[in-house]
Amino acid sequence: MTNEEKLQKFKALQELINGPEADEFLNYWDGRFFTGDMTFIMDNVPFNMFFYKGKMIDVFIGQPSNGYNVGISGDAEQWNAFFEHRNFQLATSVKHCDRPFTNLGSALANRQNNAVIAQVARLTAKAFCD
Amino acid sequence: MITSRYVSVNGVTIFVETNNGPREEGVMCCFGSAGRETRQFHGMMDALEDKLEVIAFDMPGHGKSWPLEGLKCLDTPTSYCEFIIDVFKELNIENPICIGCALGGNVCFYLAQHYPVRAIVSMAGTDYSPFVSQAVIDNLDHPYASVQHTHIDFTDSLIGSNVSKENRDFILWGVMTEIGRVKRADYGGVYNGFDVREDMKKITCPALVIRGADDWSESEEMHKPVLERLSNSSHLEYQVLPGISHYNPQEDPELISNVILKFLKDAEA
Amino acid sequence: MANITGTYIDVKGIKTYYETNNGPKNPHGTLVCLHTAGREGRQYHGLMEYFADKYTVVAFDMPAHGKSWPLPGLTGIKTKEEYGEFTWAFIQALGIEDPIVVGCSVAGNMVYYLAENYPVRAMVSMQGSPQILAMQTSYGTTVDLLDNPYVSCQHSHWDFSESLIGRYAPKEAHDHIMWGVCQEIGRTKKCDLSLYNNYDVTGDLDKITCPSLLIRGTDDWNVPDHYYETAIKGMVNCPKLEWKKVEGYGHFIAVEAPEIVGELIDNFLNEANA
Repeated sequence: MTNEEKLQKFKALQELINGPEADEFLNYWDGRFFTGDMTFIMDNVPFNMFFYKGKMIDVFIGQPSNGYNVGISGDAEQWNAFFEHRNFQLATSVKHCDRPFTNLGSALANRQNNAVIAQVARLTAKAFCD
Repeated sequence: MITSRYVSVNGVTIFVETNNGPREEGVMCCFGSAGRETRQFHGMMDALEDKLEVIAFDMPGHGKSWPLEGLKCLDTPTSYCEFIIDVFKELNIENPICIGCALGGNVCFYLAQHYPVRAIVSMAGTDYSPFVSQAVIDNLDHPYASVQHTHIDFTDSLIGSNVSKENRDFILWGVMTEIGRVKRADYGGVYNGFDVREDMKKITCPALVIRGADDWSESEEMHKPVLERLSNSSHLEYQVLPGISHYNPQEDPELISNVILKFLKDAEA
Repeated sequence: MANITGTYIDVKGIKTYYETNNGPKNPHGTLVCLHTAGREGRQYHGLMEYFADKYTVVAFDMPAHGKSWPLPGLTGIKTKEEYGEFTWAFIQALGIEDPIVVGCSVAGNMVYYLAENYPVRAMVSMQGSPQILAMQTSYGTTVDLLDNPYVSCQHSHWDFSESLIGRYAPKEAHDHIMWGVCQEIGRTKKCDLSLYNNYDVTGDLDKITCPSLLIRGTDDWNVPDHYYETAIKGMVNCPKLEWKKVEGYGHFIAVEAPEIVGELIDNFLNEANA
């Protein structure tokens, strides 16, 4: 998949998060508390999403202007493994994953937004694969 | 000896504790402050073991009671108080002496307006409490703010000057075990929306209103209109107790128990 | 229908809450159930129901959990030695002479220590391991942030807990487990997970001489097979050792599938005492 094709998948993710998945995302997964940048790096290419109170406003290829806030980074193999099992906790576990995703931003910010990032990652898998 | 069991009320499993005291002398039901649970009244349960049966139960979502469907809690004054009345019916509690602290102190007024009670004791309570700002409410159940930390200083400021270390520690433990969504429902919903001023004249039972002298959150001025609205109470008392503040039953359970026993004796003489 | 009642008892100066199903005395022993990290005795209500007519089942809240008072300094237990001493003191305070210790997660770890050091009648370990050493990794930061004013552990632990629940767990069990997240006590959870992730009793597994049942809900990605393999390899003096895998259930298996767990325990104890 080219980077442009991946960007289109993130646009589809935007439709999902702001549409049919909105209620669950906002209310069950704490999405309503999240405002700011969330970046997923796929094979060294950053895809940056900006959220305002749980609504995805924008997504583009590039780094956030103020530096990484929260997110995860992995190569193609790591992302494919995640897309297969869709277990965010396993994919980021230093205990149980041989090659866990790398966290972007501070440990504190990622901890604060753990549920939000997890759900966005799962919906990314949905947008990419389903 | 305090023992507990579970009962089902409106489909919700509720945790109930009793001191197994003599019910023939009377039954006292205890209602705690926002977010808390039955252990707030253990000191009083012990103090009154030979005098009255003292019962406390955890509201839905509190302590060991299950939450409502959807992991929710009661978040309006009416639903909260009507649930209590349903618990009374399930436990066959008649003619209770209702005592409450803070939110529980408010609740006693509603109960006396809607259920036949023997007497009420409202500690740090009021009949109208729109006191909580939206900024506070929003942050009670927020991923970026641990209510178990944010509420420490506020709570510490509300403990009286004469309270033992042991009792102070346990009040603070209550903060450290706060449940965010429960606190938000209790404090932001039930307490903040509480207004039973119009029906205060319906209260005809004996009523004791207690203020801890160190309680900066409940001033004497705030209690005056409440006392005026209790115009039909058969025996109305107002007591300001030195050295204690907002969490009366925990701060000095022996003192509170003795004050209540004397009040009942005087009211029913 | 179990008649579950509770009360308080002084254990090493701590007012400790416990519940029992008031079930009959069973010649195989009394089940003493130990809850998972950060949680409390209601996790065993399903098991108490299952054994209502067969076993006395007791579950207590560890210090700083549920309705038990905290230790001095408003904290929970932090070492396995403290945990073992406290549990044994509780057992003795209740006059239980035939304890079968049943534990899940951190308690699933701790029953190995108990069986190594105390004369228990039998042990049941669910989702446990005799060795987890993870505190020196970045996971240690995660544990540290459980008790931080800027992080509500009642939110930060949400997705992790959800991921541990098995796909066959009924809605009621799922809700119970997730409500447990809502009730998390940050400093208590930090004590528990520090203990859980800094634990190694493999050196003394050969001291276990009681019948031992190990249960794994296979949907639990956090407790893999090799934890059990390590245990089995070391438990060379166990007179009866069984490992049962339960498909479709996860980390909180006693909550998710109390009937299955109950049946496994019942069969195991019958066979062990035959």
